[in-house]
Amino acid sequence: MLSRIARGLYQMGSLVERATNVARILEVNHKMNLERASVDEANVWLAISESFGCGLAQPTEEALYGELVLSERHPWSVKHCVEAARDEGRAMREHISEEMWLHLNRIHLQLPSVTFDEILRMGRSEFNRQVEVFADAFHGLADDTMIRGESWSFLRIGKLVERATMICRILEIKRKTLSLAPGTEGAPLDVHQWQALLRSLSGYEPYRRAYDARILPERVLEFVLKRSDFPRSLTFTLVELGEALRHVAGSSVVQLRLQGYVERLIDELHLIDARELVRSGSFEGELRSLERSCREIGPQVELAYFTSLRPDSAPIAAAPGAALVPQQ
Amino acid sequence: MESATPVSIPSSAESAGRPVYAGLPDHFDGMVGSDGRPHDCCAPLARYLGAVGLDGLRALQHDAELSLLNQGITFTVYADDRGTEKIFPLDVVPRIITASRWAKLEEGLVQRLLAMNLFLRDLYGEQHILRDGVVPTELVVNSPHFCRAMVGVRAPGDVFVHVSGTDLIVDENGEFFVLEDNLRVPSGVSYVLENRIVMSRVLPDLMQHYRVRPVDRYPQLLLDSLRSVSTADNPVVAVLTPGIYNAAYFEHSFLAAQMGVQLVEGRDLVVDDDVVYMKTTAGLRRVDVIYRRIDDDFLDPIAFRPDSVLGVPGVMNAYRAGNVALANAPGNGVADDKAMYSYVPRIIRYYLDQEEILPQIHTYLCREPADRSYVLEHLEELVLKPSDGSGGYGLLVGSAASRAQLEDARAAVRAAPHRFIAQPIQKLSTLPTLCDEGGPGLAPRHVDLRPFAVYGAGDRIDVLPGGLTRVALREGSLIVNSSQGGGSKDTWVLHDEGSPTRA
Repeated sequence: MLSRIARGLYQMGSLVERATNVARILEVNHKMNLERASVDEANVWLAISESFGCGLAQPTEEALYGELVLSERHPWSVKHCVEAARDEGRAMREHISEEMWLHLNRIHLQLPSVTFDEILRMGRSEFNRQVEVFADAFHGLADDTMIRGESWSFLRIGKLVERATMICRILEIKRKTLSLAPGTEGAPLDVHQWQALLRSLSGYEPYRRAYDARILPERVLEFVLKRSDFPRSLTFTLVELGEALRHVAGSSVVQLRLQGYVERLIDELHLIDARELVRSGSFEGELRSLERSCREIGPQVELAYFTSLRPDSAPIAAAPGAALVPQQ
Repeated sequence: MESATPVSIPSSAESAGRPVYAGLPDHFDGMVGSDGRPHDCCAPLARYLGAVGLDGLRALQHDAELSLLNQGITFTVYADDRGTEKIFPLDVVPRIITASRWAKLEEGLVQRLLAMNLFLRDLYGEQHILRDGVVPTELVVNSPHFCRAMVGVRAPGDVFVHVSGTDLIVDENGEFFVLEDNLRVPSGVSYVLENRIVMSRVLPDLMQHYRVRPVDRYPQLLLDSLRSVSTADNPVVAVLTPGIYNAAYFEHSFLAAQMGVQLVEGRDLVVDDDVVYMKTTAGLRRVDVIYRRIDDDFLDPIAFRPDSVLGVPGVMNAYRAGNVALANAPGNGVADDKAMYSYVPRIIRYYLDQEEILPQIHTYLCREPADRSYVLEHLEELVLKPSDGSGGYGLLVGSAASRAQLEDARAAVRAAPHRFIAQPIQKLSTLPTLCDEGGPGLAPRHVDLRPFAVYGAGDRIDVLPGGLTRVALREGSLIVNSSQGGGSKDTWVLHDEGSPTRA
């Protein structure tokens, strides 16, 4: 498959996933804001603003929507992501299904006219829900209508790489407002925050079904990082990614190394002890390391599939494997 | 004989209270003679149209258009601000060409292509024809399409004109004339194939009645001929497109898909050590034949226009090194130039020692003083064309032009005579076409014909039995180009003479 086409599909998958994740983050914070007790409103939005590089000194919800939803340039803006995904779709109509193209086209016809006032009118939750449904339906259509060939795999790889990075990002945003100090767990605010974390990953109900209604930090972390049957856990996402990569793997050294990298990352996660993480307070460092490792995947996919190295060309990294070990 | 009655088909004209279709005075009509009776081969078609009636015909037309729209069979109009994607309208009344008529046409096309290919080989090789003074040297070397990078290059398989689409018209006596050679990157063949698919769906019974020669072999013919010019064992072919914003993008992706080869853009290819590769997820893969749908100027920013971002840097060097075949060869424009057109009969005689089988239209070269003064005096009776233009842009029909337009044109001719040629206004033949304006029903509209031929190694030429019949949908218009409001018709080349009596 041509690298340009593969990259286009990868980006399409990643852009759609990004749009829904941004909507999820905004939604959860909006809900929390409604019930805020002692959290300073600015703090919630500040964490998001910092995480997405919006550069807002005094972020308000409206300012953030301007950047992360309505901006046509901000790389994480919902509007930008959806439009860019549709542009990719137009250029590769022969590689996606008719149903997916119509779906992309439909939101492309609705979205450009949306303003913040309109979002307020329809309700932020309703708007965010629509973005989520768009993305879920897109991925669902891909799974239900596409031939299981390379096109499908690259679309999926894009989605999964973006999702893995975003799970880390959501954890990181939450970490700043979460307290792990012994004794404070179970305080109303904290319960609320942990719930929000689960909600932004569609994980609140699955969590309750898996455990019970009690929200314990170590369980939440266990659930979000390690759960192998929950589609938005980091482990599940990486296992799927590994599968998708195997589906398109050739014999090139970089491609094989990328697979090894993802597998090692899964092993790392396996070794994490959530209870220990909470007790020892190493949560922050561990999260940072995970986020860094996940962010490394994208550039490696680029290197392995889209830059067309000749099969016989020398390895790229100076010391083979050196840069590919997840950082501790 | 049943066919010897006027055609009782839905039409604006009436005779004895019945609608009757008639052609235009002094023009040949492809369906009926001047007495209003259908030509033999068209009798079954006329009966069919009469039986279906106007409402039936409109319903068929609607089906056909819907089918094209849903499939996204569109082209892009540059000069149109509102929605640049349009369907190429297909008129449901087919054009019928009998086997004997086609045989002569095919023979003439093959002859012409052989000569043109020899001409290009000679121009970029020994240049005998220039030394023998058959074609003026300055016409060649001053042509904007003469490609210096091609001088001394031996084209793979000795093929320059891999794909051609010759524009033909029918004069008032019903004879085919060559209007224009297209030896660069002729487009439109995808419409021939798609139109046939649509027509076989909306008019299955009529098509079954006529024994129509199939056109769906074209992708296979094209692929075979492209592969034949390469010396590689199992040559890899790619179609090179300028991208999705190009007018003919649909055709590019259609042909690539039909041939089962990759559709690539310039940025997908890279030249290393004079070998062309495409960038794939499994690394670089060698390309042996490029069917390029990019103009010469944009093909290689190193050899031609440095600002081209569509092309492939270094591809000309790879071509000159014999490591890749380009179809069509660069520099073909020197031969299908409208000024060179008038020399084609001489070119045929020079290389083949034959008279031309297909006649062509007398052409005035404004660069010649005698011709120029004739053109300036008789512009009202002529069609003035830029000698290097295509797509109907910049064309002036003298009889339809205003006084101011004529004056402007005269000034342009005087300023740059070598840029123009002129031809007598042709009485383009007509075919019944379903029209909205000017009353309901079928009306005569002017048409031309573009048959396509592929040229492979060993001088093997296959002419696709069929072709794009373009129709000027506006009443009185002579301009059939899709970019200028033209439509198309399916062209049915028959296995036989289309006997009027066969049931």
